[in-house]
Amino acid sequence: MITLTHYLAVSSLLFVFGMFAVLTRRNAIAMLMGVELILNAANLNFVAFSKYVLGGVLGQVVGLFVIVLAAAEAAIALAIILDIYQELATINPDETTELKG
Amino acid sequence: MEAVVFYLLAGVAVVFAGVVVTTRNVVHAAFALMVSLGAVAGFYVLLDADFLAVIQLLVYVGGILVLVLFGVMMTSGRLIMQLRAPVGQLLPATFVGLILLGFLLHVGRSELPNNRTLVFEDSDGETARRVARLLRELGAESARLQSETARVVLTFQGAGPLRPEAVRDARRAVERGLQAARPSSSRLYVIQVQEVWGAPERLQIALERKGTPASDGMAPLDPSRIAEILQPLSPREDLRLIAVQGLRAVRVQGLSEAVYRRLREDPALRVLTPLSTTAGLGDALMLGEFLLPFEVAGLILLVALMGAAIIARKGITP
Repeated sequence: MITLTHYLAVSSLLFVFGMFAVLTRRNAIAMLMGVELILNAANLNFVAFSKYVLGGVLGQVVGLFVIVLAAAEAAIALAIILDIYQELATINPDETTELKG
Repeated sequence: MEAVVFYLLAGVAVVFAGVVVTTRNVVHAAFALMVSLGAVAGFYVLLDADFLAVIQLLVYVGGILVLVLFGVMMTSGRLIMQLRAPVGQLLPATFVGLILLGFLLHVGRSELPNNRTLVFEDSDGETARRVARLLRELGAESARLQSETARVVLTFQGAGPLRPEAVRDARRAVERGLQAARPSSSRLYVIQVQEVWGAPERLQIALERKGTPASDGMAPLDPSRIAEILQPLSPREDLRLIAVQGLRAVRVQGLSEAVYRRLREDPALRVLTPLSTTAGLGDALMLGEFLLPFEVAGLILLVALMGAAIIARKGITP
């Protein structure tokens, strides 16, 4: 039988893959995809806890807010990436050192 | 069956997430992400979150990924992009990833406190006794057992086969009737409207309550009271309320993981599955305690989209 632990295992794997992408990718868009994976892993946890522990729809409401947040974040991040590309002709985060980062 | 679907979805989600992380081509990564997020939508269906599954497909697969692909298209000046990090970055990242994975899996496996809840159908009162006996045998005295009416099904009878407008009117009339009888029925909502198979002139409307009687200190769902509220209103002249049936159920709270599993797998007990959580979700968002956060989230999304438009436009105009 599928239990909460199964869902937590899947979401752990998604989270770690997402974090790996954020740490190692040299393309800002690929890093953004890693962030999406992380948000989805967290969301899966919310919904799984909502079904198996809490009952009711609280976890789903939070999950809906996370999806809204992810949409807003993707729009802003892509706008910034486009702007950086216009300025510097690259989206490699290692090369965008205008702010001395 | 549930297990087969789960492992299938888990395999798809994890394998394609791996492709997102390892592929050299950023367009391939975007398409792999689409499949992975689609599998997560499948998980939402398994977790009774139908509405969230649809939103996941609409917003992620339909919205964010198209945006990402546009981003790839507009920034791919150098077609062959160096996607992978040098080994000097890859090794520490793998190390941190593995440690985090071990930690997360360890936390996920740890035992949760005794707070699982199960609801069983109990049409004859036999289930309550059986559950009580099983709990005694398993030594789970701390579990709380409660009999209640979990769902009320209203049956309407029309003169002939029902048209869609008649069905819609009936639903509205029931909702208005329940609203008019506030506060005694304010926490009831229509959870399903369905036609009766083989009897086209009949219509069934199922009602459930928000929360549990134990948690909000209200009287249990009372079929005769609901019949009293709804009897005087006939949605249309030709549609009459002919039956109000209460579905009896036993709610068991405070179960440990082992007892929960044992009860769930008992062939003589029927778990009462929720019809849909979409109605409850809408209730919580539009009428309940999440109205303000919902509005704020909408405002944040609007501001973010306007900000994105301004940021992206600045670079394009001369």
